[in-house]
Amino acid sequence: MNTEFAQRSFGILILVCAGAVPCVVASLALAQSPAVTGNPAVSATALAADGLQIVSLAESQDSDSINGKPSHIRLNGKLWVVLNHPLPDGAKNYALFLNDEEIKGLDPAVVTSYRSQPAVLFTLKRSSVNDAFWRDLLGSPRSDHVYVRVSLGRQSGAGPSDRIAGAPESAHFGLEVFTRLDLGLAAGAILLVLIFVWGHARTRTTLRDNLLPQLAPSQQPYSLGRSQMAFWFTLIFAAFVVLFFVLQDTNVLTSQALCLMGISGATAAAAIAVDVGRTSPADVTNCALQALGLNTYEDVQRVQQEIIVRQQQLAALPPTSPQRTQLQIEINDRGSILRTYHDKTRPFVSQGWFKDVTTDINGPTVHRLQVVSWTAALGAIFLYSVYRNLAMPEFNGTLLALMGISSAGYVGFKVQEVNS
Amino acid sequence: MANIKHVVVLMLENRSFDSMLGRLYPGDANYRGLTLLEYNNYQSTGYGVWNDKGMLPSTATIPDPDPGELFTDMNTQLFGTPVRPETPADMSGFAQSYATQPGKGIYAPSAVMHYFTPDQVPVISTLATTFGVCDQWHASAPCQTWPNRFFAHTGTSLGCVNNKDFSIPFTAPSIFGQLQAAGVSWRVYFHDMPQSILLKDVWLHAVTHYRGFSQFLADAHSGTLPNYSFIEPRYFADLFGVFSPNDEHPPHNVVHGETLIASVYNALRSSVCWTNTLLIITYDEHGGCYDHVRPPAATPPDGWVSQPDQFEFNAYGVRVPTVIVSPWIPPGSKIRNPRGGDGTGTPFDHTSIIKTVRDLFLAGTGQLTAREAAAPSLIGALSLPDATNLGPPSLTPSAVQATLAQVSTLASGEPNGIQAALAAASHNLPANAPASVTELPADGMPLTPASYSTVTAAAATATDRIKSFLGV
Repeated sequence: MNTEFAQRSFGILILVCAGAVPCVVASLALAQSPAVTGNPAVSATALAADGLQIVSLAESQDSDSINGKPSHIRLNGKLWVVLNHPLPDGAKNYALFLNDEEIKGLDPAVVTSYRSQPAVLFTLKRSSVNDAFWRDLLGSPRSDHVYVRVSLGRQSGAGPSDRIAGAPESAHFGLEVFTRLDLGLAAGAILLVLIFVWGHARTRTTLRDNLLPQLAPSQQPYSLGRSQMAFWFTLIFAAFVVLFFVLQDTNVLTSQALCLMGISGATAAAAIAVDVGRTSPADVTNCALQALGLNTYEDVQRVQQEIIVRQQQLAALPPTSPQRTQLQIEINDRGSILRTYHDKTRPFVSQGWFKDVTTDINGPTVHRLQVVSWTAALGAIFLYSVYRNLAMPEFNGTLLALMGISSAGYVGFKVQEVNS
Repeated sequence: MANIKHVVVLMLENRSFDSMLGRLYPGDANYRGLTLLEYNNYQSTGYGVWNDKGMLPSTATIPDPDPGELFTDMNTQLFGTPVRPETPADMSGFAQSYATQPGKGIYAPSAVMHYFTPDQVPVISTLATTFGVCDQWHASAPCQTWPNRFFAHTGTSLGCVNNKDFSIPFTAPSIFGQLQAAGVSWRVYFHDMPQSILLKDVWLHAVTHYRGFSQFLADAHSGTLPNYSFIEPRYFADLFGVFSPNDEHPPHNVVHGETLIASVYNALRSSVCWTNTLLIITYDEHGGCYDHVRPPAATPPDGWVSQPDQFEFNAYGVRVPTVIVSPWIPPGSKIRNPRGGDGTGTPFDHTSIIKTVRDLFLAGTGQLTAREAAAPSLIGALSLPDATNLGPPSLTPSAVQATLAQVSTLASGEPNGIQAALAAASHNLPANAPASVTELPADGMPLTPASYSTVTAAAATATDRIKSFLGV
């Protein structure tokens, strides 16, 4: 496979994983046509026997009807269901149905009024009881609103299942999934993380090994351990931000997400420990470069500058000057030092992200490729799961063990790498 | 006559005969080794020859620091005075020369009186007893490395006694040039920078005739060795590869030189070329290490006289360890000039290499210098009727490898004489080897002093320039 193609492909995959959340959010913001979930038409069986009917929907007592319109009502918001007659036996036995499905676990409805008409007030609260319902309703969003059909009915076990519905134009509305402000804040937060973690990666050592201080930051090879850690951090952070804004809930992190961060963090830390604890080829080269007088990249730049200065001095001297020989020798010596430097540091210079993380000094390695592949696979699953279910995924133990084994294998083989 | 088709020379650095092989045959009256009664006085204290038991790095690197090896140092070592007198050498000033070295280390006089026992240097000792040892092989002149190495290639040093005195390229005709002209194959195998590349005679052929040491192993394995091979050891500590020098130059660990010798022998022994091979293992000069045999008078190679010392090159240098290896040599040979086996005849020196190669491959061609003309050949030592002394199938060198810390210490230190000289001389190499006679310089250019703070810096210059010169 063409290396550059593979590198680009994998880079794109990572970018997709890391950036998909804001991209999806952005695409939602640009969506023009509201998608209507379900059929807004009232079902034939929805009419209550006593003639009760939903005549309107509102988001507050002071607001206009939201019938058939996008609203500002969102999760944890309040919904006024306006009826043509008061409920005959109070509201406590009635449940809210959206798209003909009962929302369990809501606080008891409150009987109230809306512009002199009887109404029932519901708080659209998410809880563990109705979590699956909200996940199905709000997951895989294609717009900033999701249209729902509203009806009332007796709670499960509270009597006959007849439902109180409304006319087609009076019993459905657009439930807000997120606001444009949310979108902006989420995108901004994610963008900041992307910039600080990945955006500076080209010129700084955030994601690089930094094993040879004599190399420029942009030449340092990318680190698999750090990249993996940054990958999961970015993904989980982005998911957290999006879920927070959509669900208005900070309790979205799962133990599996923490496990993933833990595994990646431990992998990165172990990789650094391996590098620090043993004499690696980079250590040997570092030692040799120091013997050459090159302790840092600034020393390399100094030698380059010394050559330029001497070349200028040489050019200014007459051809017969006895100083020319000495200057030429000094230029040659420094040139030799730089050529040796370039020759000996070549194996440690970054060859691009994908090649760096999948190869060691001897070439491609299976243990590195394994970590990259499983990380990408789990990342894709993670991303899809967040988008589909609006929740951090619950990876099963086997998958997490697989990730752990893969990372442990990488660290184990890295010990061998540094001894090569 | 022995059927020799391949001569291989491995020339190491700066060890005296007594320091390496002085106790090879203890008590043997027919072997000019140490009796353990030898000593030098310095400031009214006698320093006898001695051995440090075991073979820890602290032993294998004796003497440390490096003894003096300038012409004046050698005069002190041989005569007790830096100016060469008319009187015969009495080998009395080694301890004095060492103790009075200018430097930063502690120059304990006894260090240069140290010798290794055969069990400490088992590779060269095994080869010496299995095949033959020359106890009458002297450095060609009581001079530094380069004069003696040039003697091995050209039969002269053109009047130079110290490395820094030379103009590069060295313009004297060499055995390589004669082999080339006669269509006899030759190669120089090297580790970092070959000193012999400073010969003008090789410049036109360097690109095709200079190869890394690994190529020697490959050529031996494939049976494609040239008629004449000259092997140069690693002179510089290579911190990038964590390689210690294997030239045995004090204070470099002799164990690594032993490993090199074993590698060369094992490659030859397992080669189809083996029964037609003569291997000469020698050292360029004694490097300030003690030897008790007085260098005899020698035939001056040419009319050159050193300046300002007025040395006429009419005396040999100190004895150096030389072991002759071939299936044609009787086991346990003690090789001397058959025309002077009692030690009074012309001894072997480095020009004996040229003489032997000429006898084998260049019969009837003109000798390079009068010194070569006077030199005994080694052909007489190949006295078995058939190649029956095959020797051990292989030699196992010490498993000791240089540590990063040891190499780092060497690589971060100041370069020694040959290291600094090689780095300086590398500036006299053109960026690319000349492709035609018209591109050859008429004369050499004096070395321009260059300062290198570390061995690694000197090595960077030397190896970078040689890579450019050879186009590799």
